[in-house]
Amino acid sequence: MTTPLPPGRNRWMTNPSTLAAPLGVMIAVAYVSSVVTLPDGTGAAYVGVLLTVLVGFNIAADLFEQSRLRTVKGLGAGLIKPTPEALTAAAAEAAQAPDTTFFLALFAFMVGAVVVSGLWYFLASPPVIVAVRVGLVGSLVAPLTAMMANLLVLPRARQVLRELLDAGLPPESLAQVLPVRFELRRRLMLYSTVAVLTPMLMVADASLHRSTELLEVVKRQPDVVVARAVFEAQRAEGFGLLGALGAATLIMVVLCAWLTGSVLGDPLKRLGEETERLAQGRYQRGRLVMAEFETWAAATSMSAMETHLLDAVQGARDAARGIGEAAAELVTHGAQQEQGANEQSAALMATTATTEELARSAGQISANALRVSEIARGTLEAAQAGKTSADAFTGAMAEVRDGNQAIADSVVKLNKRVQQVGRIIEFIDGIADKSDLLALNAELEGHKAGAVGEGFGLVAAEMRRLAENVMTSTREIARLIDDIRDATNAAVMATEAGVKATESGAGLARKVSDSLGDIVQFANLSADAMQSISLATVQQQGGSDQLVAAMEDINRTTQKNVESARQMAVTQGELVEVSKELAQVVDTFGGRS
Amino acid sequence: MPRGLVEGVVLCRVGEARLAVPCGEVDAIAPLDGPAWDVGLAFGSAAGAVEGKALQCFGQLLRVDSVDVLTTPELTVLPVPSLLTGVADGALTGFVELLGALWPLVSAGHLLEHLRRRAEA
Repeated sequence: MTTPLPPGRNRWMTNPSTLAAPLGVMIAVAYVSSVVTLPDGTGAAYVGVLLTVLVGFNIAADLFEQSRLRTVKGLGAGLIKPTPEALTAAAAEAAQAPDTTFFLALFAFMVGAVVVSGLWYFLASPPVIVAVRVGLVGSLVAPLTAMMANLLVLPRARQVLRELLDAGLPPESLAQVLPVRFELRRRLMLYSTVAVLTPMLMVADASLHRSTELLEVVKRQPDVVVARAVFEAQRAEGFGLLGALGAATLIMVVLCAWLTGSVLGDPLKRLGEETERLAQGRYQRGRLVMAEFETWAAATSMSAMETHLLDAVQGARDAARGIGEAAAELVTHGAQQEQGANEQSAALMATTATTEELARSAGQISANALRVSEIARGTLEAAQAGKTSADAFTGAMAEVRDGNQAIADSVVKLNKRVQQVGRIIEFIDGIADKSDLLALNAELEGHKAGAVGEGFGLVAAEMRRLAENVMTSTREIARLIDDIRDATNAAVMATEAGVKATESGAGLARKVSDSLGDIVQFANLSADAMQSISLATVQQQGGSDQLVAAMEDINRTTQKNVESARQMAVTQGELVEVSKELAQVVDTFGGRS
Repeated sequence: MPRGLVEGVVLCRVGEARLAVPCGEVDAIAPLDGPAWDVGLAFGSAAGAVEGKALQCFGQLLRVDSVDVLTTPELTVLPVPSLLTGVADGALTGFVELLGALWPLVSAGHLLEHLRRRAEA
């Protein structure tokens, strides 16, 4: 979870520099007012020029500082999104802020002193030596002012960097922005030099100035006694002034030392706290103590070490968890293995019994296969005989079919003859009918002729009876012909049915023959297969005996495996306990990442 | 020929009816192969069979089922009872006894006339 950078951090960070400048001016003014005697009528000009330059340079310096903190300002105001790039840029600005403040204060104060001296000289026309001395005093205070500004801005810059870390700045980016510089000794030397040398120069300057003034007073007094008195008075006054200056110098040195120690010692204190935390095993990823120089190197190294330790602890935790899970699985699998081994043993025993039964069955199968082989041979011979009979039956059926066909042809011819006879009978019947009619007319004419035609009529009547007999006979013949036609038709249909039946029978006989041929082939194959089965079964019997022996060996081995599985389960249980202890030990380091 | 006798008749059967026609009124017996008067109509019987014979009388044909010629020299003609006088426009001229049965004797000419009138009515 990240915390946004608070607004206004840019100005909050550089506010101490704005306060340091007036403080330095106050020191300089106090010194000048104590040591330097300003000419009459030039004090107001001095103060006016001093205040004007102080305000103007302070505003200019502040604008310059703020221009170097644009990203910090934008992040605080929410105008810039807190991306890793923006946070890194803001960190770079915050990290450079103390040095920027130092050099800016140094430059501004020295230049400001020269400007004040020059402007005062041109406006109030003091003696040149006095104007130069005032400028030198201002320049003398510049390093001290810059050092104070630097030391006051430094803690706030660290605070802003910590807030940037909270806002999501990656620690490794911060390490890149703040390179390790081993300059602590040089910086301490600089601070010490400034803190000691500035008051020392001030005291030396004051002593030299008072001595010179005292010599001038004594030299201008002709009376020795008066000169001595004046000298003594001036010397007493000088002692007081020097005492005050010494006290002010001591206070200033102590304050600078305290400020330097506080600013530079704070990271060491925090490092100590972090070390204590590490010693207690309360690891936490992303912790980084803001510091400079060698302390920063130690802080980054400690952070990296903590990260590595956390990785190692995490790895150990994962390993412990993995070991625990693996051990648990081993226990489970061990139990399953034990159960499986028991089941395997039981199955092996059952398999052994089955194999023995199989061996016995193989012997019976072999004997049965031999019998079946003999039966198959008999079947083969019977099928071959059946095929021969079926072939003969097929030939007989073909002959029957041919005979039926011949009968059918004869019946058809007979039917045609009968039809011809019928037509002849119809012709005879027609003749008889006409003869009957002629006989009727002859008889009629005979009656008409009277006694003369009596004999003719008798003959005609006799002829008519003959004709009627003929007609009766022809009708009888026609009926017989119809009967014959019906009989021949029935015979034709019967012979045709007989032909179809014989063809169907012949087809069935062929199928029977083919089937018997297949039976012969299959019976042959069956006989061969039965022989092979018999041989294979004999071999199987031998193999089954060997398998029984092997199964007994496997059974013995399985019993040993069962015992091993039990022992392994015990060992795995112990391993689970060890893994739990390891996990507890790792958890004491805390700091989950 | 003396009254009450007839010499030679042609015996015809039409359906279940029978009749006798004097031989002298029959020109010939012909096969039934053309238009002919159906004698059965005169006796209230149904039309005769298609097959049959025809009596050729006065140039016209009378269709009957079967024909026979009786060779008896003379037959006694029984008179027509007064109740039946005028039947079929006077075609029934009497009855003759033949073959153990009584046959109506019919005049072929009157019969033809009767059939023509029926056809015209």
